[in-house]
Amino acid sequence: MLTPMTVWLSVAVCMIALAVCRIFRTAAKGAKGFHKKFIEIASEREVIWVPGDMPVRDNDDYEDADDL
Amino acid sequence: MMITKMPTTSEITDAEFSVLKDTGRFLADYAALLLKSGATCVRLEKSVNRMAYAWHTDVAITITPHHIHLTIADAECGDSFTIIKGIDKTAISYDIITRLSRLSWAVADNGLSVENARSAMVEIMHTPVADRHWVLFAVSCANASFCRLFGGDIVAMATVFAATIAGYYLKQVLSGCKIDVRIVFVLCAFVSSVLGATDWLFHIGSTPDVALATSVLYLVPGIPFLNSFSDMIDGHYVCFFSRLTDAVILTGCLSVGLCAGMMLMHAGMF
Repeated sequence: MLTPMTVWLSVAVCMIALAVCRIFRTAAKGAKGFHKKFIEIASEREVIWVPGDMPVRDNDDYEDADDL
Repeated sequence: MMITKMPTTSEITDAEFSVLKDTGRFLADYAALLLKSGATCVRLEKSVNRMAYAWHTDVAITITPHHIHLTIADAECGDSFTIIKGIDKTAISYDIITRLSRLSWAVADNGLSVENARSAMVEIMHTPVADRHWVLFAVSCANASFCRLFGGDIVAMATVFAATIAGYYLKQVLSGCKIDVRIVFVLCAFVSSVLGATDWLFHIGSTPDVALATSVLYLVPGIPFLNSFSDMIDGHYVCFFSRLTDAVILTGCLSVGLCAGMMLMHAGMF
């Protein structure tokens, strides 16, 4: 039976689960980045980058939907 | 980008044609960036014509929702060519619009060259977006304030604040996953309306109806509505209809999500 309370709880639990998952994923990413690698193979862009080139940017931006 | 040179009877040297081509390309790129950043057609025409006049060229622009047709002509000999530039959809940024407008004034007032103007535009293109956590907080505060403006009490404001945080956070996550914007609007409106019905469900506060009604206001596509009316007043009917249709579709998606939430929560008219 789909009661208002069931719906409300489902939505609230889903949103909390989503937020917790994203926080853990971000924390895991941060923890992974904390261990510095002494030797690694960089991307081609990083290898041939010279001062004056366009900076390498983190392309993790989101698109804002109401800003169409 | 497509360039078409118009045949003329006048003589123009290769160097002059190259300069004209660079100027036309820059103006087309500038116009495309301005349009996709959310500028109105009247602003776009004024800014482009301002720079074209400073560089002694004549420009005619046709603005369509997904393309810019720009014809540039040398003011003296009349040689011209047309550039067609496609427009991809990106986030609206008033910061970029303001900086591009300033750039056009810098060209007109300080005589900036095409090369320098292009360097400045490339820098403007890489303007960082606002911090997403700050935006989330600010949007939630604004929506809670809307609730107060419509007569909601402090409990309703807190409910709307929480419902907006959840809905807008979902919007950020789903938009980041490149999910269709219409589906995003339906889902976010549903989540916000269900959480906005908290007062009604638990019988807290004195204005649960205001909380429910204002919980989805952050999704109203205000900028497309305003831009479409600006285009209508200025006579750009193609862009007016395009922007208005976009805004109406998003408002419809918002309504679907809100109605679904209200129906499942047995609230309001259902």
